[in-house]
Amino acid sequence: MSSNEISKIQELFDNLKSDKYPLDEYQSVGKRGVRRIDGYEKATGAAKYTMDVQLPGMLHLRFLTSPYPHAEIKSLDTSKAEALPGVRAVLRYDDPELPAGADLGGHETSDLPVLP
Amino acid sequence: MEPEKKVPVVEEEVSFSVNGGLYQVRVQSNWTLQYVLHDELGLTGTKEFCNEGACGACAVIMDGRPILSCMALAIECDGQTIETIEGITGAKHPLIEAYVNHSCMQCGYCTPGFVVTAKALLDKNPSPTEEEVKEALVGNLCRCGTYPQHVKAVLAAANNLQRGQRV
Repeated sequence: MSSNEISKIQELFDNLKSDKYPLDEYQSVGKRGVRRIDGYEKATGAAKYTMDVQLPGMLHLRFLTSPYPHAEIKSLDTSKAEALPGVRAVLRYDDPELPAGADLGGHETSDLPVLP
Repeated sequence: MEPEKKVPVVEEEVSFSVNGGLYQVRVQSNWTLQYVLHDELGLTGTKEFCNEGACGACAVIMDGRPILSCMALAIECDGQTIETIEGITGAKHPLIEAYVNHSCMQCGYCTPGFVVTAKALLDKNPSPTEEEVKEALVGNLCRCGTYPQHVKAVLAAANNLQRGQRV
């Protein structure tokens, strides 16, 4: 493949990142579609979603959920989790620092416990 | 609930080729290929979505076949040849152009998986029919409902490939 063809395909790919079509392709006035401006990033997997963000010193979180629906928690032993190496915090449903109605920075507060 | 069986986690060195580059990674026996590609190698185009082999967002091409990387353990991939969406982009495959021009995405989270699956189809069958495209993409789910556009885009890309527009 010649370098001319390669640069042509490179130009074609660069154009995909814009929502405007190259004007010299068109000679008459009329309807033309508009490209998605984020189409190239999304089709190539380059778009960054929350899951793809990695920050220095980032902590990871795991939920322990109940295997039973609508169950009452009678006791919860988190001592083993707290003793694991590298664990920075264990948040419990009965954490006194997370009372019902706590403002966690969302749209509104609720009287329900933060971790039900 | 059944008590979980404790299987000891072992660590092992594996080496595989990803997009033409050879990688040597120390993996734990419970790491999936998706986790290693996405979190260890930083190839974030391979998305985790359902993590149970239902949605196809994590598809990669291994030895010419599209596989679900969330269902493959990295420790079993020693010596394999893997191609991800980053490799397809690097090769400037006509599928990318067709996908952008046909607006095959809304939120775009499932799109790389579709492109990888379609690439595997076009490698095997350069001129598929509409039915064959639909059948090949049957394992990929899109909650935004962009399915009709995918068929058009893959057929357009196949057409472009036939005309020799390829690096």
